[in-house]
Amino acid sequence: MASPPIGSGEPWRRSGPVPRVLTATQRRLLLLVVAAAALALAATVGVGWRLERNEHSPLVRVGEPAPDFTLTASDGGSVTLRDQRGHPLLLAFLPSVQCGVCQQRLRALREALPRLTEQGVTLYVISTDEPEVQRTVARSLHLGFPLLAENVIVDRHPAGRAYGVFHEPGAQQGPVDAAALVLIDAGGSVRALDNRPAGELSAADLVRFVADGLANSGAAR
Amino acid sequence: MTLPDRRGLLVLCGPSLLLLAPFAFYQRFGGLPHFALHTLMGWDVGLIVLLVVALRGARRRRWEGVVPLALAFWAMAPDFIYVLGPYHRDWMDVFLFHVSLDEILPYAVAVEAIVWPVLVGAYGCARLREAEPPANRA
Repeated sequence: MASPPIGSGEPWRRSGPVPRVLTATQRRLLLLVVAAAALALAATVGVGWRLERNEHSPLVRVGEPAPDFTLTASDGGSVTLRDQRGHPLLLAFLPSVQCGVCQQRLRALREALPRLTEQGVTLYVISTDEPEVQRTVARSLHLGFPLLAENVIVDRHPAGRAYGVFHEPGAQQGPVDAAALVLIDAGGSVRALDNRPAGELSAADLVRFVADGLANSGAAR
Repeated sequence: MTLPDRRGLLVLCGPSLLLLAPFAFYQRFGGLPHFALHTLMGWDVGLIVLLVVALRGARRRRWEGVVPLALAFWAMAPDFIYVLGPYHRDWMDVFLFHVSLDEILPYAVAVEAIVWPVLVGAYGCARLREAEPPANRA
């Protein structure tokens, strides 16, 4: 059976040798376009790759003044750390409020909240999410504490960088903060730090971490 | 400039209608910028592959539209894994540089969004000429 002529409107049905339909100049031009596109994508990936691997700051240490920050809260306001002096604070850094392990930790924090409040501790969760996403999760998990959103676009991870939990060496988790707990005393100094990789953490573990941190001078774990 | 024939566009874009499913998934989690980031990366790389193949003289195939679709799903894979629990890791850059691109999301989306129509146009030009009657060719 004879093949339909070229230009029948269904070129993928043709059989036989492949026709060279582009002139040499057109082919060169299209190759140039492909090369330019590939180069643009490669350059973009290269910038991200470099940031991912080279951008990190030292982990905050127990006894040091807690670095200040201002972050957007899930309730629409903003929270500045230096305005919180006078009572202990627990900062719980999470990569996101959406991942499975993160939500387990959020539930543990929710469970521990009454005990933390009894100890006069204010809890803030800091994650790399949009406030809108945080609000949705806060509603679905019935969280009774504010979630603070890291600004990842304009001022990349201001809190995570200040505390050294963004791109923490050995805990690379992509462009998000590592899971960490930072206990800050009423005077604004770091009293305890837990930056173990995120895993199962119960409400009892959290309460114990805070109680030990407030009771002792604190030691990094 | 002439647009590629309608059937050609359907062959290229039709399979990508399946991306409506991950679109809904990302929307549910408030991650539409991530959807754009990884879908565009999959599409851009897919178009580059198809263009190279076309410029090497291979004819158009019915399944060509599956290439950008498959690569878009491949690029998104770490986000599906993430919702199950495991965090993003450096090695997940094997999924079309997922982690590195997340790092500079707004800039990467902008670059990919500029590159995409250029590649679609180039693909259209390359394949359109294949579909044109001989008399219309230069």
